[in-house]
Amino acid sequence: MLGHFLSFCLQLYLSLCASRAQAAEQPHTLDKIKSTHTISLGVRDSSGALSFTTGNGNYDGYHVEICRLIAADIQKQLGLRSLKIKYVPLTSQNRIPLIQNGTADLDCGSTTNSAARQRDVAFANTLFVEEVRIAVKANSGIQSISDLNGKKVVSTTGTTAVQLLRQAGRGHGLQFEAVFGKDHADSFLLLESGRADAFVMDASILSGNIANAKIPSDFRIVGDPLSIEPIGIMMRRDDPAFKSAVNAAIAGLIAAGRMPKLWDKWFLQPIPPSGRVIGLPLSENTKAAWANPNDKPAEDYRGVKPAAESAENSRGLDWQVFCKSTLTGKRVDHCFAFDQARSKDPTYLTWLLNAWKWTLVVSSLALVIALSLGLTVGALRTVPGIPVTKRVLAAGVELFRNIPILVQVFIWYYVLPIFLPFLKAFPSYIVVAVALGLFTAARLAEQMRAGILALPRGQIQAAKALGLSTLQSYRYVIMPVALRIIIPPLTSESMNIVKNSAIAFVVSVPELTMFAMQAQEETARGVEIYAAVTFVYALTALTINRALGWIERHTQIPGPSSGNSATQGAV
Amino acid sequence: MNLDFSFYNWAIVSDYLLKGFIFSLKLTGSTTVFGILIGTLLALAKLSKHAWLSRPAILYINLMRAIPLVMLILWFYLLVPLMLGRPIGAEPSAYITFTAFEAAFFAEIIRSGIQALPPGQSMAGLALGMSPLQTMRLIVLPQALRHMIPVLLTQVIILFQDTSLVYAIGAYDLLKGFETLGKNFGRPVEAYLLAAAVYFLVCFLLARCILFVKLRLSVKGLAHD
Amino acid sequence: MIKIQNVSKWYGSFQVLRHCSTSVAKGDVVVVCGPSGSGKSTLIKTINALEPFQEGEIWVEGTAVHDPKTDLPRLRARVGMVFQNFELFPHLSVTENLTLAQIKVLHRSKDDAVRKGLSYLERVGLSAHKDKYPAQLSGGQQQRVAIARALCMDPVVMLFDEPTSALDPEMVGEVLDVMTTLAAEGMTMLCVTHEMGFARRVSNRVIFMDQGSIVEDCTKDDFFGAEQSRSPRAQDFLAKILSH
Repeated sequence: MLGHFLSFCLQLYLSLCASRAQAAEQPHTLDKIKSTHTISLGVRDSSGALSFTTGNGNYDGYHVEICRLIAADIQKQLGLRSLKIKYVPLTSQNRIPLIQNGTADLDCGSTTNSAARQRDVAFANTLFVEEVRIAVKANSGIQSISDLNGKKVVSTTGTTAVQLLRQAGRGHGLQFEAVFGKDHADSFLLLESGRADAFVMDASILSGNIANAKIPSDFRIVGDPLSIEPIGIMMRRDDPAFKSAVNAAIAGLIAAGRMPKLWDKWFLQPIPPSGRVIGLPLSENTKAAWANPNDKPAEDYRGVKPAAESAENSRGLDWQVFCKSTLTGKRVDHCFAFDQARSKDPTYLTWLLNAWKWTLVVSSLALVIALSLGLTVGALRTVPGIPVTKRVLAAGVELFRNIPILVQVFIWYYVLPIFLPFLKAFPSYIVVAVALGLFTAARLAEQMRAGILALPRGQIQAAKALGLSTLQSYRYVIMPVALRIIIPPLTSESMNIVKNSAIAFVVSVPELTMFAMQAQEETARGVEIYAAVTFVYALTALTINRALGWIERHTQIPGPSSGNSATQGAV
Repeated sequence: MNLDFSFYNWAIVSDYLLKGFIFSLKLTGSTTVFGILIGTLLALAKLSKHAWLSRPAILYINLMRAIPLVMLILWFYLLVPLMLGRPIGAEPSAYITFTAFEAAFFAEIIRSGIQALPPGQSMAGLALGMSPLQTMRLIVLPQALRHMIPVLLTQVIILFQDTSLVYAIGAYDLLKGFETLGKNFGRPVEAYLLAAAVYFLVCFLLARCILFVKLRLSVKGLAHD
Repeated sequence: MIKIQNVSKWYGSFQVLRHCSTSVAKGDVVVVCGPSGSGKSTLIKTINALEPFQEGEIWVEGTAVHDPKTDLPRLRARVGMVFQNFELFPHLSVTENLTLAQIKVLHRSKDDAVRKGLSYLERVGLSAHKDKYPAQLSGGQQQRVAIARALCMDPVVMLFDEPTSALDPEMVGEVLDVMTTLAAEGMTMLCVTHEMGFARRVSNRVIFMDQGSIVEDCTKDDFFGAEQSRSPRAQDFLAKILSH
């Protein structure tokens, strides 16, 4: 099996090498726009006032409107009679690959223009300069980053703020627990629900979420900016014609004096859909960017020289990525870092292994819950008598198996603590394990019930006829056989638990899927990261498969027609 | 904290939710049809005596069953375009990924259905002079599929729930509809609660349908248990 | 010893037993026969309450089976039962099958239980198979183990529910032999069976049932004797069963 998988990986590698060369030969964006009469604008569903949906597939916002104005200008430049605008919804996790492969022509969301990203994509001249700041509850007493010692700090998976937070923590000698929301709204919900003490993110996103909150005055933005970042409209690299067309359009907007009006419209006036006001005053940095159009990356604003990376690393597969430091992004000589000294500068490999540990922790906890609860409930539902108990159990099973696990996790994490505040005390991996455990228990209970009902009725009668009590006949006759029958479905449910534990990342458990998304974002090495994570998942699931297969073989009831027909007696 | 559902009205349902619901249903429907078709072929390949047919089928099924659907979705959506050299949208890639993934699960269900049939049935077919292929098509598959209907439908419920995973690639499904609504109106808690209620209703009704089908089959003496 | 009084039972609106009354004395060997669906299996399963009934009374050595307060496991421990499909527990070895209920219900020590189990196993002629699992035995062997399992509980009466009808013909004899020996030793037995030869040789009474009612309840000699002593339905049944 392993051999097959490795050869599969090798083939994938070869085909990728071949295709990267092809990818470079994509048609120029302007040609594509000309021939298809369509421009694809990458948009975000809720990135503050920069880009958001107004429902029904429509999008609006500061960057979206600018993109539409750019599109109109490009239509003029190309002399097209009509130009269709297509919106492509993006997420922080997928925006770079989707710009690279041409799914979207322009990213009109909220992407930080960084030197690292400039190796993969290009940015239009900056029209919005963001300050990364700290949002806290107004009554928390937190005034600046130094107050964050020992606190829980949330940021959003797949954003530069995560890395920034790691670096800032080290720079200030601070110890804080970093948690991650799967998107800005979830991160804010973590702050709002008291699961985090501070939310570190772009000021516009912070003020947008605060304006949107039920009681905006409960929150405050405090401290000096952690970082000043140009937020750019992103596009493909190596397409200078398109880039200059976009920049020409931007120059036109600036020259016509449109920018202050656009700012006022989106950041100071009420905006759809609910008429909220962001209330973000025009900053000096943004004004400076308008006055002197440029596409300088964030590093230039900070006065840091971007680390020069050797050219060979940017093409082909580069497994060395796992030996890079998660703090500096540079290669270090220790890939494994488990001792104290080195663990201060962990590599992506260390992170991967750590993420694997979290996947295993969540899965095994969930498995214990699912097994103990599922098998008991399934058996109880076949016991004669106890009609009320059986009804309650049946209702529970229906409830837990008919709602997607993703929704259940959200409800356990965000909704229930509102009514049951003690739930907040539990760390998120426990919450996910419980949710996943109950979800799987409901399914296992059904399997168990079916397994017991599949036993010949005569078995139960024979046990009774010998004078065994109900409890005894379950313990000594029914369960031993039923458990053997349900080993195969048990196997797939156990594998499902490992796979479903991937949803733990939405409530900020740093497990494999979160690692995949965040590391992909930080290193821009999607193929290597995903291949490694997929391999680790497959390895885990197959180990479980083999282990249960071993159990099945070693508990097999002896006899020529073992297993299935042995349990059916001589029918 | 008080719950406030007052912002829900029909316009919002049609603006934010209907499109997502329809996509979830379409994705479930097409995956079921094509997943069962491909799954049947995979099951037959896995049961085949020829190693060149059974080996790849087994490898494919095991691999699909070993990795999370989210990972597969991400792989396909982010990396296949790099290989093809041309973009592929969120929705088409959702259709393809789900079909490829679920086919492996349907294949296992169908295989066990075929194997659960008493061997006497296919022997009887062969004894009547039918070819192995005819026996499979005319005798074994029709019975096995009928036995498997409840299990297949259960898998469809799981599939409908799994459509919520397309959030990873930004496709607009039912859950995404609720989430977006919750965010842009600042009512995420209420949105999640409503999402749970809607998913529960749909899945519960589907489960009732399965019970009905099971009952009908057992009346005809076709159900397994 | 066993008294069945006016027992009726319904499955929903369908009546499977109609006012059945009979009694069994110590040492009786009673064969219950009748066409399929006549309620004979149901009747003997009411004796150890495996089949609940809605009307009537059943007494087993003074214990009221119909009384909801009766400790059913205790009653059942005293009534041995042998099933059509043997119902050995497939996951337990022969010895474990023989000792499980002795240990768990009668609270015998493991040694006592094994000793007793093996002695009965020897009496059914299967000592060599004590460590095998049920699926490794032939049908006739399994049924003999099942009889031994019931005997291990020192039952006051043995109920047999078509003990030979799931067996291949060549194995019927070995099971009937065990039952014959048992009867000769004075065991009280109720047997649902189609083996008329066994009935004729071993039983002292025959109960004939049809459509849920006891139609005939007479001595073996009356049942197998002159034609006019039997009801037309019993006559018809016997003619069919003995014609080949």
